[in-house]
Amino acid sequence: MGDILRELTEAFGAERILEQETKDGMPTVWVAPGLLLELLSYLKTAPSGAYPMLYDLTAIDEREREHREGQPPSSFTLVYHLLSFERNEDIRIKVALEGERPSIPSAIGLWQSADFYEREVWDMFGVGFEGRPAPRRILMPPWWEGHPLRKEHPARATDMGAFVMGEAEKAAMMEALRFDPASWQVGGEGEAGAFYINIGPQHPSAHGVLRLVARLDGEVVEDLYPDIGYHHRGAEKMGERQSWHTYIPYTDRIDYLSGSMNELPYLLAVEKLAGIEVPERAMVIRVMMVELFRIISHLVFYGTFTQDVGQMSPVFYMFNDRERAFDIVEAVTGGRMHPAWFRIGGVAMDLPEGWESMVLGFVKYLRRALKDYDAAVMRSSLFKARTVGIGAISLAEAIEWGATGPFLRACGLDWDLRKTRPYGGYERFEFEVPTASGGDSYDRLAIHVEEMRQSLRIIEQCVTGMPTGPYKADHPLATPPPKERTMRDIETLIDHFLGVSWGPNIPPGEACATVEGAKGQNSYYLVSDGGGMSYRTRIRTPSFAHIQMTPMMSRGLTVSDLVVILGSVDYVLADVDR
Amino acid sequence: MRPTDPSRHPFADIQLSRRSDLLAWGRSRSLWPFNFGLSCCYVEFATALTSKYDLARFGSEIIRGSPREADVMVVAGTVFKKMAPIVLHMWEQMMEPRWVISMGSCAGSGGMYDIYSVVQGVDSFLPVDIYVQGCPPSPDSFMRGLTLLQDSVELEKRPLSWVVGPQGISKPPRPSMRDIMRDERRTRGGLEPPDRI
Amino acid sequence: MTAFVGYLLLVFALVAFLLGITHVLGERHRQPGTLVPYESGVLPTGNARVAYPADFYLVAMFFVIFDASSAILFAWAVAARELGWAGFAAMLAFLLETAAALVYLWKSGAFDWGKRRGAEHMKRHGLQRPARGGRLG
Repeated sequence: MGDILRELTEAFGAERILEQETKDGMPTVWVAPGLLLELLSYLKTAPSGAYPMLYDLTAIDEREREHREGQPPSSFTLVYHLLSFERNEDIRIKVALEGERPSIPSAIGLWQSADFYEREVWDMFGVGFEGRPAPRRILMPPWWEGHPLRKEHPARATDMGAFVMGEAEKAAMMEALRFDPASWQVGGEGEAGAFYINIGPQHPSAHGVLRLVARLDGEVVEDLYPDIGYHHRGAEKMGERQSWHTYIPYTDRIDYLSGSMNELPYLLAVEKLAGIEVPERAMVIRVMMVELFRIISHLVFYGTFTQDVGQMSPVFYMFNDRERAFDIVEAVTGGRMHPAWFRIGGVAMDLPEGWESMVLGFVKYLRRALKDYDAAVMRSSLFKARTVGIGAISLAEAIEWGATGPFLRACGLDWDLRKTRPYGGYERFEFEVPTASGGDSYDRLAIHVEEMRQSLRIIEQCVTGMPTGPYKADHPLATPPPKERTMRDIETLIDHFLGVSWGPNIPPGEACATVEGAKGQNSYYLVSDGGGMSYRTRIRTPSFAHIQMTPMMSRGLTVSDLVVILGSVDYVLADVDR
Repeated sequence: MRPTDPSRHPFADIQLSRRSDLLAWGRSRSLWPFNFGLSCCYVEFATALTSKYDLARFGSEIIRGSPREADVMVVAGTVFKKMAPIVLHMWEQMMEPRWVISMGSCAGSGGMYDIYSVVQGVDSFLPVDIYVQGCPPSPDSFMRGLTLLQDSVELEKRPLSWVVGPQGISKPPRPSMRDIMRDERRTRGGLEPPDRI
Repeated sequence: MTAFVGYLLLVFALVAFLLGITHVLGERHRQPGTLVPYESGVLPTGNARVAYPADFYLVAMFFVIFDASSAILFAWAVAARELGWAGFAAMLAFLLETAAALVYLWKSGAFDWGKRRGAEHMKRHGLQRPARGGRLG
């Protein structure tokens, strides 16, 4: 950690770089707004180890925060999170802005992918960006007033008055949603005979409420303008109103195909803040459930992708396999898609008796089934003709636009957080990370299929090597605390009572935890002010970055290729809009 | 799917005394859903269409992409304020006869998302026929909701022509299943403990 | 003659009946969004009266031509026995000529829907597509 900070103080001077200690050990520096772009461009191409990817760009409304020791005064803090593959390290750059409507130079000149992020910061906080066309709202509808993540904006719908939509309101809203090339600041408007068509928000191939406005020349896509926000559930604001414990079901629904896999980064961050060490058995149980959900999510991807290409049958087989996996999930957790089963400090309860045979039976079955699907899908020449070479991107483009996960590995970079920065116990498992070199749709699918096989390997190792021991940490902040001792001593009873009714008070600090999700890297950046609720919950999702890449991948291809590309990107709308 | 004891059927008293119309029977056995999914509930809706649950055997054979061709709009998932006018727009584009199933807690009442961007229930701007609860409802629950809708549709009286004859749709009363199933639920006991399969 | 006239009247009566009955049966409703063209739930932008690329016209012409060929085939099939081997030879010649035209069109790229124009689009805008790669590495 010392390296980069020393380098920066040497390059820029110690009085312009202020360090901050965070609970996750990530180098964090504060700079003045005037120095920001210089610093970012230095880091992007630093000769001693570059940070080529803009991983996240967000803001924090600091106006009600109490515990800010050692931090410069700020009303709104902009946070830039950069990722370095060479150094295998991240850096967080913070800029303090004062005033009610501050603005800051835009980073769009350095990373084009900053566009969506800056629009989101404008939409949520009202922070302006100079040096780019005025940001348009991205997550909120165009008629929205106010900026939701600001502390004065009401959180509840019930605090905002009943939602009334009569004829007049509906007509006005529909008109506001109509695509208008001039006000949407897209190039090529005014071209006589430009033909725009809306694909979505209701469309079978859009995989959710995604709206793509395509400028078509006959069947060929000339340009594509994604419009998101139709699935914005305010998960980040919800974090500020839920206790640390009751927020877990909301994390489940961010990437709704991956269930418990979303709970893991959130809980890893909370446990970093609280200083809780999860016992071994809980870690291995978590890994097993996470890998099971990775398979569940990839099966949906596999099935819907083949259906998009035109094969009608495989999706039924894959959804059936998913049902077998859900049998296991239901036996262990009681729920199907959203179990909300992990807890702060471990998991909710121990595994039921008889789980080993169930899990091993599923592993054996799926290995055989994947071989059948290979024959039906991966080796089908028609399928290959429709997916090979479609939506290909180069590695440089992928890094530039913030692609992570199978997307990035399909372009040839061997980067999987489970291997490069093992978390939650992954270092004790043997598995391989598949990569490909073409970066096209077929490669992305091939990687997903191989990842399923590797997940099966990990699950097998979990069964054979499941340690004994407690399933939850013995720590006052583990929620809810184990019940066994509650009846015997008063201290535990008090802790248990407060933990269940009020929720734990996590000590102040900041921590970010990242996991290798099914769709890419998923991070939770939590800011705690010492209370029972989070002060700021930032969820960095992989699909948000991937949707930005769809225009680049589909220009010059036909609409049917666009459908294939959308299927291969593997996004989920709740992951995009949170 | 249907309770085997006819006296516990929600429409028991009506069904015993009225002969269902052939057209209404035909409509109820061929409800084609609209391919409209908002959120996580849509995945369970899609699962209900796959082979383990197979809604097609209830007549929901073809899922239509365009509202003009669909009978049932299943509002599956959270209704966002940005999406609300679009939901209403597509319901207006559906042709009669049309029904709405509100699937999931979010569509029914906003669910656990009492947040600035979510409409607290789709029934604030759409007339809903059946509410299916769950977060998300399992495909079995959704099938139960669909069969309830079928029973209700079978007893509807709709005008044969918009030119002649009596106008106006008469729908049977729809009591809450919670009340009807209360006695059966109370007799349930001895649930399996969660520590074994 | 009378049979023909009777048949004609029957046809008209049937068509009138079908159109009439579908017009009066069923329910109607007219709400603000009902008559708007469906475009994935939102309002359309611009109108659909744009200059379509020639590809669509080409496909339509090919269909007409080859479909007309098969119409001739039906006419021949009805009288095949009477026309004998000479008729068969003539039909075979006709089919081979049509097939030759098909092969010519195929080889000259008339059926490369979109891909050729896609490549032109890429060249015109100076876009590059990265090299296609191999399988799992």
